[in-house]
Amino acid sequence: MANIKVFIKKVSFFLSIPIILVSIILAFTNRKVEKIISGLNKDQSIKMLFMGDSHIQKGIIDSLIPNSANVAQNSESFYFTYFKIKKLFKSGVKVKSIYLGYSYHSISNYYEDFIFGQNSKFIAPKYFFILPNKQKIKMFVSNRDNLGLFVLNIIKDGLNPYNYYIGQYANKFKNTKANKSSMDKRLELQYLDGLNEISAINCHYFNAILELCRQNEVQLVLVNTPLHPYYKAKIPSKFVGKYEELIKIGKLQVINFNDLKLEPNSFIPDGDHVSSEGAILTTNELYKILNKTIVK
Amino acid sequence: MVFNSISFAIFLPIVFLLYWFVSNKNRKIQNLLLLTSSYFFYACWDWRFLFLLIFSTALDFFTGSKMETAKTVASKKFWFWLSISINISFLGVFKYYNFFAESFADIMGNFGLQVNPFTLKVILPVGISFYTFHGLSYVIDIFKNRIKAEHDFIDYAVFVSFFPLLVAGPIERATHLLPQIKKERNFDYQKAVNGLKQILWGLFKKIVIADQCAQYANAIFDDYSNHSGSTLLLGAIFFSFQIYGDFSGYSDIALGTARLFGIELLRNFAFPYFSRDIAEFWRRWHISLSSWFRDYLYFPLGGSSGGTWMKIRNTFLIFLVSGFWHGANWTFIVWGLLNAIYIMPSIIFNTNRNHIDIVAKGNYLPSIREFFMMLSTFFLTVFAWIFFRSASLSDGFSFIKGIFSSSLFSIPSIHPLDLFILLLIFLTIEWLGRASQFAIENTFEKSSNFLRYGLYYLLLVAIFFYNSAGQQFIYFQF
Repeated sequence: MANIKVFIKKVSFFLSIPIILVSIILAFTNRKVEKIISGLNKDQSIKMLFMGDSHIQKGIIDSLIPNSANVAQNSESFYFTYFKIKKLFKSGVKVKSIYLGYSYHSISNYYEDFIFGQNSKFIAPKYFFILPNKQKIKMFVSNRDNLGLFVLNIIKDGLNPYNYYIGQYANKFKNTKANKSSMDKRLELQYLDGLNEISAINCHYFNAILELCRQNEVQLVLVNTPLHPYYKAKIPSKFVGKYEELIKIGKLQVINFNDLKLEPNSFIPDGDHVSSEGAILTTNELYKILNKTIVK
Repeated sequence: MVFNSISFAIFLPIVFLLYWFVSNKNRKIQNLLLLTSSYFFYACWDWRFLFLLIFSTALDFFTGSKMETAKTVASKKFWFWLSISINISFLGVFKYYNFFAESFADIMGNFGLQVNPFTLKVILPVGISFYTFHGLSYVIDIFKNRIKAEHDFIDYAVFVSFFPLLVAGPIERATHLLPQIKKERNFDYQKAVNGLKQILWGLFKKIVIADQCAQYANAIFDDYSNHSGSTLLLGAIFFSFQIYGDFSGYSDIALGTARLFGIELLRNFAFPYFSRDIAEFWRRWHISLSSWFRDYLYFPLGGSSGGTWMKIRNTFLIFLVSGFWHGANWTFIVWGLLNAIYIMPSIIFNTNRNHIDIVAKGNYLPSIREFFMMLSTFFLTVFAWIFFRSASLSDGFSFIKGIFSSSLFSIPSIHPLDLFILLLIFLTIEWLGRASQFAIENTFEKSSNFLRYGLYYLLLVAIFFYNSAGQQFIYFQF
């Protein structure tokens, strides 16, 4: 019996070292996230937040629009945006308006894979520290088969100097053009793989965002960034219909750049995002609209 | 529940603690705990097949008892053949029926006769080939009067269903495992430490080597017509490491887990890629299956006692059955026959036992001759693995045709540097530990704790880093 106790003691000690190390790193990362959020909180000049997924991340250059901050992230579904806004509000961040990226793919169920599915291990770690405890547990359960990689990605993202946890403008595409095969692949992923349906989760959290903004008296404006005409034309009508229905029900203001005339070098190959040249044109156009209508 | 999953990481410590703390010093309760845990482990796959496992166990237990108490030879034979035929029928229905039905239709089709065979839409119960072979060895041994029938059903059921070996072996013998199950077991510190080390090494082989090689091997095999000869060759090499890491990794975890419970299982792998000829390879690869076929098929058929022709015939038969055991597909049969052809020269010239000892024993490096012998044996197995991995015979032949094209000497389109480095590190550790039961059994044993624990942490970090998706083990399908 003495032997087995020594054995258990030694094994526990062996395992406790990496567990303690990982805990320290996680605590450090948590502190970093809090620091980033309090930075936003302290900056009283920020009145507008641009939020959403890669459409906003790549399309809106916040440095060109005074008093604004782009806090969008690639592959950010409404589920994560909701908890991000909640965290920001809870931390005392006071803004007048939120410009939320909203396009047809935002309500497709392909995004659910990034929340609870196979791709969760890559996407969820970016939001881990802003999620409430119940959601954190859900993330652990969803990633139970990839727990190692999931925790590792939390650590990796935490140690990365790039602002993963809140998001920022980022667009590495310069002078690129859309091409049909990339657009077809993108369409296949988002709408046409035969399994794509309207996502109940995304619609639920879209409405939750709406309610959250109303409760906190923050104006919510939807922004649909430019799409390549070839790509736009192939979006199935059920997604377009649901897109319009949600706007109508929520009585929401939309700034739609889908039909904005852009140069060929304004798109990245998938036709679903703008290049850095396209981002300048889109931001300038948005700034004009903001000057005319909203920001006085 | 797979060995490389969180569920197993929770399951194992619970069973371990209950085994040594709650049911300690009571062998019967320990065995009951092992049996319920094993059935729970199996039910996690598919609880419906648990009934098949229990039935198969009960059948062999019952027929074993009947054979022992049989008053006449005819009665003994009756119970023996009843058990054998039911066991083989289960395998036949679940594993081979569709293959025979479809092959029959194909043959008829060649004669211009249209046959629409009735096929079964059933999934293969996991581990059926393994636990059926456990049962078969038990009844054959009783029939041959090598052992006495077991009278305690729980003990016998633990022998068949002990969870570390239940789904992918090693294929145990009643003569080896049952006495351990029937004996009082005391906790052995050194054995448990060794067990943990073997589990760690097994996980490394599976997660870091096999699963990483699988990514590239799958990409190349699934799209072989669009790759150059050099890339195809690389794909076959990756698959060779995948299957070795996968299966020997599983065996290491199984052996290590059993050691935690004070039980020694049969060794299944002994560094097969360091073999100098094919005969040596087969003494080092899936040892428990090879020895099973040797003892229960090769020897009863006359073995090598009847001259060269009998040896040739029996060897071919063993490899044919071995291929067929792996799966109901012509690709496995060709794989088996190819290995039989490889081994033939050593059978004919009686050189099959030339290399019994460890290669380059006591030396850091092999001689040039040994190196080339190992390399050529390795490439022969790589070549045979192509059939094992291919979906059909025509795919296998097309893959080989693709390798031996003019693009064989071009630069492969896939060349993952990190995987090459990993394989180099893996082979180095295996080479340095080739005299042990498993590679890291004695690594840095005489060095400082810092080095030893440094190695364990490195392995742990690598497992943690590369862990993705709790990939299945290849041999579960057999």
